[in-house]
Amino acid sequence: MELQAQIKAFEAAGAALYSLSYDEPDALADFRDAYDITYGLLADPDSHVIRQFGILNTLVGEDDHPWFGVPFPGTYVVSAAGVISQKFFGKNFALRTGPEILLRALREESGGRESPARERQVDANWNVFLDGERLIVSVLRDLVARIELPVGERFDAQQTLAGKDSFDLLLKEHPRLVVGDVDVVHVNDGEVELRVPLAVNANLADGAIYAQEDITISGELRWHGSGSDVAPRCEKFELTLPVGPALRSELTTPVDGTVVRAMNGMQHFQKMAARRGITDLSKLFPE
Amino acid sequence: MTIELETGAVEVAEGWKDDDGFVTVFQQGSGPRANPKGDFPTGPDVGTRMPDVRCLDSFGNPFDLHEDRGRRPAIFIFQRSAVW
Repeated sequence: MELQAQIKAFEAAGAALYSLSYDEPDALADFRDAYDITYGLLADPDSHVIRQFGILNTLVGEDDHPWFGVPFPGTYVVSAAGVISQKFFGKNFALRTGPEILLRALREESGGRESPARERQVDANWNVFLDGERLIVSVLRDLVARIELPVGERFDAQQTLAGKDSFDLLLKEHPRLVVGDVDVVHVNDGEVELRVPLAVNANLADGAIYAQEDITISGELRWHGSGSDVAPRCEKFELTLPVGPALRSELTTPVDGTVVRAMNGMQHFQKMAARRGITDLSKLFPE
Repeated sequence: MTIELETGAVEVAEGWKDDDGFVTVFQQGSGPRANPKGDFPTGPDVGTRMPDVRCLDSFGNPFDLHEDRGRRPAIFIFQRSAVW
């Protein structure tokens, strides 16, 4: 759903977008129609492609049907020449890389990470913002921090290589916030961008799973430019981000704050289970 | 590569909650929640050619990745299921 919402951005980037799963073509057809998907949905019900890539989830027991056959979920960014230029694979399979992170990978693919220096100001400028409109359960989006040093100061890339970071982004813990690793981009020697992927979970927030209340993130941005008599800086920030509805499968118990569209889900689930020799679905679900 | 299974989860009223706060009826460590604890295989390396992908699409038509994308860059996502 989030991918489809950004389809125009992918088209503007001149990129093709595909999603492969172990679902059968007719299940994907119903999903496509229910959610008006225009990007490519690909069917791999016998997990041939999944195995070919070497990413069959072997932590699922071979007899643990219908779950066996799924991949370790992840995303490949493929260049125009057909080479894998980046890939995104995370340990928690509840999380998916959001479209903005992928769009940024495509931009880097075509233009690289450096950009020409802007005219420097007398004072430092800094900004923290979400690359995306809102947070959705399970969808990773980058929190971006940009620091522009004033005239006379610069970020010493050598310092960072030596292990002495000249900048840091610290986020206060929040029960609904899932935080990834900080990625540092030297835009040029006077400007740095830090990105940290975030998602919200479906943690109990005042008793309501999938609560759509805004979430307030707070933290500190610290940096220390090289130059004569330069003092380290520490800026506190607070951002309130909207939380949007998450897409949820028809098979799950209905929950407020989610989007579920009819796609003959139970029928398809019965079919994929039967394909794997399971006819009594009640045994699949815990008491 | 020996892949270790993640089994740490806390039982809550609605099911099982993992370290990142995700809750489902399935306990961590089996079926749809068979997640790795540490490293796990992530397929072909960055810098190598994207393998050929030939399968069916949602219309039941044959699909060939490199042919379909032509000279365009592409995003290729491996998901688990659109059904569950």
